[in-house]
Amino acid sequence: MHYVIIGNSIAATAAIEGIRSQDRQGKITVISEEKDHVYGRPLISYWLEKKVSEQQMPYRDPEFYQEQNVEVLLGVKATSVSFDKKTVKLSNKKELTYDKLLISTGGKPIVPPIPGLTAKNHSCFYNYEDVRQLNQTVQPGQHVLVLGGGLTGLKAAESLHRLGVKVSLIELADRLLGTIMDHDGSEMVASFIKSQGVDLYLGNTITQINSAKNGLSQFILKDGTTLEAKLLIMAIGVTPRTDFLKDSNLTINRGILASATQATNFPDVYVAGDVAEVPDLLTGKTVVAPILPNAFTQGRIAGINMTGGTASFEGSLAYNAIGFLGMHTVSMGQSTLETSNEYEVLKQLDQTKQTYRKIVLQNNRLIGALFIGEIGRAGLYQDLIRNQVDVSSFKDQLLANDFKLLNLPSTVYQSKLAE
Amino acid sequence: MKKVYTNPKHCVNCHLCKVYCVAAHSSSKDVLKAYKEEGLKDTARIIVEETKPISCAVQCRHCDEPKCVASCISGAMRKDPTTGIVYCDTSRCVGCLTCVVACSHGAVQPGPDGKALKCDLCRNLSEPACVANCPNGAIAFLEKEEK
Repeated sequence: MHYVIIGNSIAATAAIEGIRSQDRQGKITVISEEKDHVYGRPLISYWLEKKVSEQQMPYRDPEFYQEQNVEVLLGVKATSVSFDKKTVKLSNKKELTYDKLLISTGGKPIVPPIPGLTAKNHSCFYNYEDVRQLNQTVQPGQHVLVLGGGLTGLKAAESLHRLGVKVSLIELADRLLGTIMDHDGSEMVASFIKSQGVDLYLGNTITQINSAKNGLSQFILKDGTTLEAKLLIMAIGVTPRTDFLKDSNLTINRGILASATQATNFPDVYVAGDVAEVPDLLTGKTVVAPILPNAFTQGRIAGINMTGGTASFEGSLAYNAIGFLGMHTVSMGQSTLETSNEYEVLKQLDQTKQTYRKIVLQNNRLIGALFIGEIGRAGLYQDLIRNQVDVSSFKDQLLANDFKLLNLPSTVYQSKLAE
Repeated sequence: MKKVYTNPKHCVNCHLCKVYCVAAHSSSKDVLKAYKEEGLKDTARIIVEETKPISCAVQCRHCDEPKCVASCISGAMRKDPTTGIVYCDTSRCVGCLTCVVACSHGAVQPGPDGKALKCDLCRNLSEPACVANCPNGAIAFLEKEEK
């Protein structure tokens, strides 16, 4: 049995562990475009601000591939796949034959065509190599622009700010973190970040880049503002990395369509992680939900099923826990919704303490939550969403900052204690 | 695998499980020194809940497919393939706290150092300290089928 895995990030690692939990013998080959041992992508901002060392970057022990009996082809790219012949062509001109294939190629950063944009005046903030380059090119005291006020943009801004770099963050929407926060939450994060010394340009974008003196560039914004800076960090999002499959008959919508078993429309071909399109837990609609826990869970399920197992993905529930310059935030599910005929929203906002707790309900069931400042035991809410528990009998307890298992109906907490 | 099971009927909300949990994870292994010299006061990995008149201890269930492990961005959160114990290698934890959001029991907490704090079943001891020191037998170390 030959298992071939394209990609070498979290989904691939979980798939290796999934395969090896069932099959110690089969051959596993991993094709890795990057030259590094597997690392958690979100760690790059921590590495840049020197909170994580080079030795701490690997996601698994240095002996991982050896212990799992995996051959890793580092610095090698898959250039095409023949699903009929069951072969993968590689950038080193070789060809691999697979019995079972996993596509876990992740995403690739979106780079919009801004006039004047060159390889020298911008960088993405996606992989280890990006931050290694940034570490070389950017010095404390310099000015750097970040385009995109999502999670990646904010983590990039945080790490550069902590390095002593002057950061200006530009976001096209009128608020930060628009996909996971409502106005109140965005406003709390924005005012905190500004108070820490990061400049924000909301409802704005970059329309033109010109070269300037001393190796700097001049960035012209939509509202006419002109900023001089060393570099632009592009952080407006990622898109599934499927280019090398475009001439195949694989079903690709936004991402490669996955069944609940992580199978694709071709036999023996599986997909997992940021490249996959999977059902949403609550709506059932298929979504690309590029968050790390999804990549791990899907990868493990794919791995088990590649050995003939019967694991299945319960659906994507997006959740994030992110700190920005010391302010902790948690979002899960439909966290941006406001009260309407369909939704009931409970809120508790304290400007002085900079805390915010928000619950979104539909038919007395949780479908989303948002927390800033106080995040302890947030997992209890995630479980209420996942299991669609009727909260009628304890709704008045939901916003309490000491919300606990004992607030749940006794049958529920007793069965949880017995797990 | 053997896990810690708690019985609200026998719990008197004394919090001794937390005290001995702190001591068991200290350098000195001594309650007084752990609290007064090592500054470990708020580092218990077991939670005592109360909604009068009920109280009970809550800690990690060491799940078969742990969501905290799936959610960890650094690889610090692990499930030992031999013992099944889910533990956090704090030297690798960056304090993102995604595991706190992932845990369906709310059993992973933000520690005072900003890192994930959770039960490791006292993996270097024959019996977890909370079990050994519960005065009422409200906390027991059992195989699930022994319950």
